[in-house]
Amino acid sequence: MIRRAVTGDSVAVTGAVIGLISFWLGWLTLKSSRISGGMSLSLYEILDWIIPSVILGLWLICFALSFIRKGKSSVVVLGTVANLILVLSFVFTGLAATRLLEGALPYARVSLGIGFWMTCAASYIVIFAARQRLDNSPVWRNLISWAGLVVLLSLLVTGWFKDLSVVQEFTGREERFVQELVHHIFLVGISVTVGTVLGIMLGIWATRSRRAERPIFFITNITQTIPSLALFGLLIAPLSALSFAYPVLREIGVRGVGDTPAIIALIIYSLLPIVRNTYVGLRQLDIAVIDAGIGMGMSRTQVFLKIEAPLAAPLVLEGVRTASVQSVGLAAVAALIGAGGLGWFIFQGLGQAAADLILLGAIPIIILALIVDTVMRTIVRLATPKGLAGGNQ
Amino acid sequence: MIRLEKVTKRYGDTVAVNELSIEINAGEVCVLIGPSGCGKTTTLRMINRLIEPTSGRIFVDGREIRTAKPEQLRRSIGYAIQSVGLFPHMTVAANIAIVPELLHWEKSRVSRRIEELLALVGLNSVEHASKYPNQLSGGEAQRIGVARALAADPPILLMDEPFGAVDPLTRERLQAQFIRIQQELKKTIILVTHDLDEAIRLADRIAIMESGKLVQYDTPEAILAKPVNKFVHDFVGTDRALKRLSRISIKGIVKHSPSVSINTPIKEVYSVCKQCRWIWVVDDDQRLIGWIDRASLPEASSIKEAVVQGNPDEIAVANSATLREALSRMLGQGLKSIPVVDDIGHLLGEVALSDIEAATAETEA
Repeated sequence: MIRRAVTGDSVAVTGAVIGLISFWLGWLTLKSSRISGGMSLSLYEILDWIIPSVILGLWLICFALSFIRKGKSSVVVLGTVANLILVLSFVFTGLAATRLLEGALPYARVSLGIGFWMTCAASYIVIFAARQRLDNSPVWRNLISWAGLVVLLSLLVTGWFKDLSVVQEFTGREERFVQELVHHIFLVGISVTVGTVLGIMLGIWATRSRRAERPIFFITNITQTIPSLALFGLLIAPLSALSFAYPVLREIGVRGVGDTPAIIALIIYSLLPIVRNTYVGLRQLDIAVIDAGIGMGMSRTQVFLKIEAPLAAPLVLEGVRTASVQSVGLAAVAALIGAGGLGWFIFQGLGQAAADLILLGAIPIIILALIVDTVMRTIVRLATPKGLAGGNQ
Repeated sequence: MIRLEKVTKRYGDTVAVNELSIEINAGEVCVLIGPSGCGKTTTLRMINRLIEPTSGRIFVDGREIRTAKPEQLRRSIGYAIQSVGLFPHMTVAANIAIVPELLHWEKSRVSRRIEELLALVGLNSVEHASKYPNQLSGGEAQRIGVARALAADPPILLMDEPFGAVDPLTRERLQAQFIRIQQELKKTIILVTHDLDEAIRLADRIAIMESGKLVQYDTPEAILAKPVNKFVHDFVGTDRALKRLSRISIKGIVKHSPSVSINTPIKEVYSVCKQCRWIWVVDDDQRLIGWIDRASLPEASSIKEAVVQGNPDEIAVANSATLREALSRMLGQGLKSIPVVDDIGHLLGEVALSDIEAATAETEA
């Protein structure tokens, strides 16, 4: 009994403790200009005690709730409180930024500090822990996972954070941002689509032919180990040579730099998870099931369409999910060879040592990856045949 | 119905089936049996062209099977295997509907057929039709496998160890059900097994194989009585007389036995049977629930108090059982007689040890 009383949800406890610690660290840095160093201030130093102590109180509630292991309602409350902390941190930080900039010089910037980031991370650790325990109720699980983010995005739209430097970087580049975001999605979309078609075909080929199996996996495994930067670079030379040799190619947009090498590299990276999962998905099938199908008079095509394809589909789509999440991140590197995308902001920011510009590229990439992941998980769940026990989540 | 002429299957240098000739009559159950690697499964799979013979010819209904498309041939031959191979992503109903749908049956006809078959294999159609294979017990899955093989009412059924993957008690029941279904349907069945008791119980004819060759092909009685050579002799074992008992159903020797209802006043027990030592006790529904010992009666005030309760599965045999099962249960529990119940536990009578002896003497003669 005593042991049960003290064993909490260790993940949630960790989150709450990190949250409590990070409250005391610097949340905002006031700088005299975009790239200069500055002074780090914690939240209560800017906003007095009353408002920030709300966050402190919520963390204590989280900490206490982490020790209640039973019941759905306590988990839902835990997740809700964590979301509330997330939203309030942003709201208070926005408030604090406005307060700091009152009467400051026109070039002064307010950037986010370690305390703020740790608080965000901590609240997501708690949200993650709550999410894990809500596996049986998908509605609550999705609500807990996304509510805070949705509120934040709507606050962003209403201009609450207009005084934060990241947002200031954004307001100057709205058009460019939308353009690069769309381009990023385009790069990922086209390469994952082609990669899926190609990967499934190669996966099927590998299961059908012993001779093809080894080379297919040799090549897809090797390419996966090439650092992304190198692969993007390696494609420049052959592609420029091609486009010089055949002007037709140049006309349809094949060049050493730009979209073409980026898309090719992303396709190559998306191949391995898809090929491997297709192969495993088909290979793991019970021989008896296929034997029964053939023995009852199904043709080879019927066996594939009615038995093999539906049974392998969840695993294949799981591979597509891995490939697409991975591509969202890798596409950032594509900006280096002139393909654009959200990576453009990151490399601009790196070049100018402007951390907030880097964030303008990085944060949307993370959010995009999370969205793609959730959408693909839903698709995998829908594609899992009802009769498969404990199918892939 | 089915005729194999000098059929040989070679894999490289090894000969799996060697010049095998056999003829299986319509409506008979032919059991292929032999030690593992004797070629029995290969033989079975050559009949629906899952394996093509190296040489020799196979006729089904007088027609050589090579003249038909394999898919067409297989749709006219039921196929059931040990691991069942139910499609995990399809419901029981959809699994049974596979071959009828391949044959483009109308929807209403298919659903009628599903109901018929589920009833035939003794499953509740409403409850089971929408289940998925992972929700079935081993025995239920096997029965669905058989129902699926019978779906398009094929005249021929190929079964590869269809009762191999279930526990002995379930296997017993499935075999009894198999016998009942076969009496009703009269299919031509080729069944592969390595279990001699199963072969003796189910077969009209047993084909014993040894390293790809047919050694003896005859009725179970003849094989038990006159093994053609040492291999068969050793294969059937020295307990041949006992094995013969599994060819005989207890139905013929079940006789009426005294029983009382649990609610009978205790005084009336004496009038039911004056000299019996044991009396079976049933509930108001005539279901067996236990027995009473006459010796304990004087001390008891009611039957409820005197009854020794028991699970019918343990204290009784089903009326589908064979003499051998009844005998082994009696010997195991040291009884001189054992009660017989039907599928739902109603007491039908009892079988006495002396009657089994008498029945054995008859078959010996």
